[in-house]
Amino acid sequence: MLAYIIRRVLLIIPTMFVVSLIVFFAIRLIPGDVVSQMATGIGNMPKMTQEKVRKRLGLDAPIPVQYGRWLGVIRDQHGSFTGLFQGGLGLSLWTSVPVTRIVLKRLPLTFELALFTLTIAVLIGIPIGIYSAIRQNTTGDYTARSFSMFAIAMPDFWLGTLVIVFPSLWWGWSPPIQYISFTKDPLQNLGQFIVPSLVLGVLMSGLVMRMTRTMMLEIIRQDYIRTGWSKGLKEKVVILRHALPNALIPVITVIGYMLPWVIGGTIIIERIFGLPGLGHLLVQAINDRDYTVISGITIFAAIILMLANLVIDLTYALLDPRIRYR
Amino acid sequence: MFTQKSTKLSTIMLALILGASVFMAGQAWAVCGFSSEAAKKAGPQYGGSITFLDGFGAAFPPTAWNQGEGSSWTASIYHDPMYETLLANDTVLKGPCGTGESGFYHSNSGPLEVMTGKLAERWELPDSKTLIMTLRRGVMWSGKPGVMESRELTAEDIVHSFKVGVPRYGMPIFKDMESMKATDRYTVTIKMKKFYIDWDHYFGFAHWAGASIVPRELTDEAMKDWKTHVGLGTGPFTLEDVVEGSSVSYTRNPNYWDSYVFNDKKYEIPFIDRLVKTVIKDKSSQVAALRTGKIDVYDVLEKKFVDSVKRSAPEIKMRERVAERAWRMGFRLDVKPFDDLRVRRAMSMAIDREAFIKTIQGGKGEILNAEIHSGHTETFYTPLEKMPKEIQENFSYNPELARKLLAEAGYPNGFETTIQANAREPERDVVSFLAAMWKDIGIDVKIDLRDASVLNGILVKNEHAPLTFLANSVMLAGATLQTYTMDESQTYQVNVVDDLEINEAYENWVSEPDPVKSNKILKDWNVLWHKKVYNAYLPSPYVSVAYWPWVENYAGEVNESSSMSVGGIFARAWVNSDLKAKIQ
Repeated sequence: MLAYIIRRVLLIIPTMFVVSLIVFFAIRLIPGDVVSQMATGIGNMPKMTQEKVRKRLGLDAPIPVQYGRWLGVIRDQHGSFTGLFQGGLGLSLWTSVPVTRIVLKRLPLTFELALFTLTIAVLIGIPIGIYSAIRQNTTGDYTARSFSMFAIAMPDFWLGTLVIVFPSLWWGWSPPIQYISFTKDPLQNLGQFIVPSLVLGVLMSGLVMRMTRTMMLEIIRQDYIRTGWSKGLKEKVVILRHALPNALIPVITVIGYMLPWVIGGTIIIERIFGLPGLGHLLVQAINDRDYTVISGITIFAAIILMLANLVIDLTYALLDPRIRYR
Repeated sequence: MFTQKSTKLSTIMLALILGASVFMAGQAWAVCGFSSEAAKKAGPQYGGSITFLDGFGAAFPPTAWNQGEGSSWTASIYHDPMYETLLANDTVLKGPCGTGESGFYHSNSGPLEVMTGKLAERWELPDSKTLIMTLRRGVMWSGKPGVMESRELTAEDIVHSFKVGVPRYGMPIFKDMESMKATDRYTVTIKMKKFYIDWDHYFGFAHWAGASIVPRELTDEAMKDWKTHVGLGTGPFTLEDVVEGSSVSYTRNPNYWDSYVFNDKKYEIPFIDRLVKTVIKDKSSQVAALRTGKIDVYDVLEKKFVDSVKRSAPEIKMRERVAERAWRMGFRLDVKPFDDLRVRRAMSMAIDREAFIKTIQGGKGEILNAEIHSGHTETFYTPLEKMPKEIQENFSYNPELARKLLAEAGYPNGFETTIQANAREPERDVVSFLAAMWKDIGIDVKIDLRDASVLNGILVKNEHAPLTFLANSVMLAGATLQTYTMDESQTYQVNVVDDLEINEAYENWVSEPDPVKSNKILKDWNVLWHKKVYNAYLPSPYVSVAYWPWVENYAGEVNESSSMSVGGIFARAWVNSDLKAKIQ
């Protein structure tokens, strides 16, 4: 098991290298750069000034050199090594603030949103999925399946906008506009997350519900479940103690793989609800062509996803004793 | 046939109408900036807060706090409540509730006549190349342990601010500055190599030029961290907190130097305890926050939202204005057939601007809003009906004449071309509309939409299409003219033309110290520019400042010292807490 974990952790290194290559070069393929974007905002930044700023930011160097600087194997335009190997993600091209600091500041918010979203998705999706499976082909099942189709089909930006616009028109309500951190006021902070988490959570619960239903339907037809029924066990015991744990193994995998989806969803939802998290930052950075920030966020997201995958794989062994890693 | 009786009746009717008009006007004047006459009588209230959403600020959230660099110019938007300017727009006496000489709209700075001294008590130009600013005495910097002790603002601070902030920003005026010296504790003397017509804008509203007036104790490095700025400044508010990507809040400066006289009584200002500038990126969320009172003042409510906001929150007050954006469809003159004036004129007169206003701009648009903003007086703005006949023709819809001109130019069957524009709204709708209009006179237009930054990159390299549509600013005359009309080295002069006649007229204007003469030159310049038809101008849309009536002593002003500055304006506004409770 330990050897497996070490091997998986070591595999992260080449994966990260490939990710870094893709991230670094792909964003530079998008036409326009940070200086163009600054000039767009200012409106009258002379061309000469634009060139000076480009030089100051090190954007005049060939892209492989910029990559070397970003990795920290080539000295930057100020003569220092300040890249990934030195533990940094560089400075924001727009603000000159270290990217690590920027990302770490925004990360808790996105993490909180993702956590609430997944919790809501699970709390809604699993019970409905179980109900739908054990009451297959009833009105309740049809209603639950319709709900899941609706949730899967509904775009998050659309539902998010509706949730903002209609309550403001009908009841004069709109979500808070100033973000309050958990450390400052936990209650207000949680209040800010309820609606956006519900929007994302409800949408994601559709998939959880479908998966739970499918797995439950498969499990409840197994011999050992039939044995349970024939022994005269109560429905609660058969379903919750014997069927559900086995049905949940693939569901947990799906929930784990929903993490990228959750992070993707936060990009839009954070913008609509004015939550200054990583998604919000990423959109701003893409608009600003702030390459270092875009790369930093993507690297962070990649690390989180790889670690999440590792945790999911390891959880398998805990949930299913038949699985053993070598 | 008139009888004596009917004449008498007419006289009475006339008197009644006049009386009613005077009464109505009196009522309107009496409550200008107030929710009601009673609220005006009740006078100021201390306490409460105002949350302001500036559309420009929402697009450019606070990123850096030191000024001067290209990347940190947005700091000026967030410096203004705490760091004041040398001059300011006289929003009290010359604003909508004063003489009404200027609306003090967003980004649209007025002429020197509507300005007043802020940190500079007075200014003088003893000759055309010298500017002397005399500072107000007794203006104190609030102190902060570890950063600086409280002390009086001096001329050295002004010199320091310009020295630190300006050089990297690259504004052309500063290349012509010979020296800036603190000639005594309260006097700053600026020597220029030549007269510069926009001196008031760049020196008076220093933050716009990249130089907020900051204490000289602040090093450039310290300036970068917003926490350094907490509690500092001479302005009515001091920085309280910054939530990146969400909001910037300010608290009342209890030692603010300025005061406000209301009903002959002098009050300490600001009245409100807190000012919040908020950042909401999503338009629907912005409007929802306004509707529900989470935002007190919103400076750019687009026309398409106005009716729905009025229906759902009828108490909200609005002040409509022509947007500070000129909608320019630029022709590349180095590409045939756009070097031919007849082709350019034909394409301009093939646009049905009335239909454009109805379909794209919600029924209201300003046909001529370039290159001088139509909000300026006729001192230098010329309304379309007073323009020469040929210019009026260019703006009137006449496809027959357009076809004739095209035929004369050698294109009786039209031609094919490409138009480039930003891929956002409203540009994509605009270019589709234009393509449909030009199709009618035989011009087949391929639409090429690009991301803003990409389009800018294309423009920098001069690789843009024969036609380019830009919906960019039209504000201070000098900056606008230089950016969009002058020589081809300017990024946004999409015409790729270096017109000596235009450039010479511009140079004459900027170097003319006599305001009467300079205004005349500018007015003539504008006419000359429109004769050239380097751009086919489209109508500019209308936008509104929307605000809740509980913000008293406020009439929609959003520009105290050039762009986006509201510190001084909200320092003299107060919150009518009873009314707010009643409405909410």
